[in-house]
Amino acid sequence: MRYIIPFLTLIMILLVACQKTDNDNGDTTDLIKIDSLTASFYTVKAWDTTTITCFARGDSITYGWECDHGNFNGGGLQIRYAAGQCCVGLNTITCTVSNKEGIVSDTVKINVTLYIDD
Amino acid sequence: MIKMIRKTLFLLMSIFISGNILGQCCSAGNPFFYGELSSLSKKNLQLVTGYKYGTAIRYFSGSDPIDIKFVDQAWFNYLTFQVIYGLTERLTIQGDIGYFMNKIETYLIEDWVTSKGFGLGDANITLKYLVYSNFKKHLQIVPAIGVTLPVGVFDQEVNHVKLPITVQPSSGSFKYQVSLFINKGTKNSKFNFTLFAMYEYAQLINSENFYYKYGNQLLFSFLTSYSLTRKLSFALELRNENRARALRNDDQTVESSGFSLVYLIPHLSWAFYNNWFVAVNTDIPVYKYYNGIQLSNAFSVSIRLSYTINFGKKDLREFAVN
Repeated sequence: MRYIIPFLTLIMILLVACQKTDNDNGDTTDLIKIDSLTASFYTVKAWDTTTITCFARGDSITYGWECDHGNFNGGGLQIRYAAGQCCVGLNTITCTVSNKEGIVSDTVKINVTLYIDD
Repeated sequence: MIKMIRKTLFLLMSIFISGNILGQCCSAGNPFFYGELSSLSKKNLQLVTGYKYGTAIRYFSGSDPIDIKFVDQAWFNYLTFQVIYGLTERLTIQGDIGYFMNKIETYLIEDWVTSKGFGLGDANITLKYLVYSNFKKHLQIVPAIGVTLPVGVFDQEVNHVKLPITVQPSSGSFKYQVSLFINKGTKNSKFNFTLFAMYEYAQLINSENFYYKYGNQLLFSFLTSYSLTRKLSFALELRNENRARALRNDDQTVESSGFSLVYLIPHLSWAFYNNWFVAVNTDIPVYKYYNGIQLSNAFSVSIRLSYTINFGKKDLREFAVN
């Protein structure tokens, strides 16, 4: 019994210590501006690809990409996106543009549909 | 002599199977890895290190293969380290940590670059309690509870592009397990049987950019082992893994998630020197059913090395008559 309390305490500490925080997007800035974030197709069948392009202005900017579901290929201002049947639904693609002055981001939604229609 | 065989067989059995973290190849999180299942005697410390290679090569729709031209092959090379300590004669604590040397997907789409993740996976803490042990009946029952901690890498990027979740080393999710281990010997000291069942509940991941809940998992395993020599054992296991469908944004069910799998798993284990054990096994899927369309597991192979140190008196509690 004397080990139960220390063990539960340890678990509680780990649960708190390991909580992931939401992404910190850093300081927003007026020195970077995203002009457009567009996709060649906004609805794609599972495993088909769409090309997503982000045009932004700023000095020495870097493009970062993430999505809640799916796969990327490429990098920079243009990227290809595809998602399998695991990711059917409306998926959010986030483009983050940054330099030493700060960071801005925008999102685009891509609807992934079933590979084989019911 | 019989006692020696039983002792060796029991120790080999106890490292054959483990309620470690479950993960389909190749999805986020640690793969299933065999380790210590039983409880240890008081002040016994067991150190386990292991390596696992797993691969997935075909898409399945239900129980049938389907031709999908996307992922060509997926595989991983994985290391694990476990520390197990007998707190009392009945209570054992176990810690596990995993590390992916690599976790790779290659693609059939032209110019699509290989995705490669690596790094620290999930950690796991398990508390096991020996509720029943009877040497005369050759029976031992050990329930356990555990928690998986997503301490590893879940947001790995390459050139500022986030890798797909399937090659992220960590699952990103807390998971909670309850399990039951039953070991039953026979009058023939060379045979031994083990039953293992586990239920795992996955906690919702709800961050700014990601809302996802892995399906809960139910596992059953039946294993029989035979002592070939005093130190060499062979075991055959039948394991059934069932995972429910996942949930995503707005609690939508992910139709192409969840599965029911049956593996046939031969094990070979060898005890050497004092308290050293090495074991190899391979997971061969004999039945696969995937909800929707998913990349399916092919096979995996593991090797595990274990060493036990006794800091207490030189007894083996598993032979104590209840």
